[in-house]
Amino acid sequence: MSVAGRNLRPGRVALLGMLVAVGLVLNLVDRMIPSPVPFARLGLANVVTLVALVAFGLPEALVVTGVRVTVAALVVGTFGGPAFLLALAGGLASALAMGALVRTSMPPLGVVGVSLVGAAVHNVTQLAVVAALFVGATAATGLLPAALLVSAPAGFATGIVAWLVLNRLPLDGDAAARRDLKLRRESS
Amino acid sequence: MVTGADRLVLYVLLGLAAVLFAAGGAGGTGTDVRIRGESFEQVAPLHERATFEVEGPLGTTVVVVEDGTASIVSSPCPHQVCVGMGAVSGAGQATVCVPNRVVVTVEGAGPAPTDAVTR
Repeated sequence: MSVAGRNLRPGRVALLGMLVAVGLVLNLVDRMIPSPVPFARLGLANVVTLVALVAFGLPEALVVTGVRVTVAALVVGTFGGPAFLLALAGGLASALAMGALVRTSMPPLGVVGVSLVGAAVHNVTQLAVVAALFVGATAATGLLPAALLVSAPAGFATGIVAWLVLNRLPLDGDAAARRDLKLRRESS
Repeated sequence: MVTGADRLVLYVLLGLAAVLFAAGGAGGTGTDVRIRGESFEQVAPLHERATFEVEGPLGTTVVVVEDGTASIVSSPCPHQVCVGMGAVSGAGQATVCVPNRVVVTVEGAGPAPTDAVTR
């Protein structure tokens, strides 16, 4: 099957579904990790988006992220609420930004750099949505430096995890070739 | 694992956060206090010591402004929530006596401190 020129072999569809499932679990694990500041989260589920971007591409990553965020909201019970809106906006915006980087600047940029930008875009997008819908621009801009600051360690950590996963993930065919190209890796 | 370009991104991100922190400054410090009762409204500087007696439906609520903070020190209300609230000082903060209809808000430049967190 092929949609918009994308190869949707059953094996690949299964792998994407698995990425969604892993993302859901990571999302729940993420909630259990204590955080020094209430609004700072590790964003572990971003690992899945990064893997989808590097192994497959932007359309796949957007689908995986969108489905993951929606199902996670249904599981946790925030579907349709402000938290869901924030998660969706942040998730899709960071996937788009990271997709552009993976396409244009990788290499020399590595997974960690892409993840850092993704984390920053995620947090700034959420703040922008909060400003637009809830508190107004002045209150939100006060939090902008904090939002950027907490994104650095979170993006770095998830980038490292994504790098480790990508290097160990058994891929074949196009996905393996794409991964090796993006990570400047010797072909396996 | 971490390429040179990755490191560059990290430094740019941290630098941007630092610059924004510096530009934003502390912010949110209060300069004035607005006291409102049923038939009373007054704005006073937060850094001048003053005492206000505000008449409400239950009686007299006493608001004290000193050392850059405002607090309700006594009120004829049954639960004394307003007195227990203590002093407020940051822009956007407020202390309120609901039964006696007295609202004390701190006004000032800069963004208001966070009053809601969702996750």
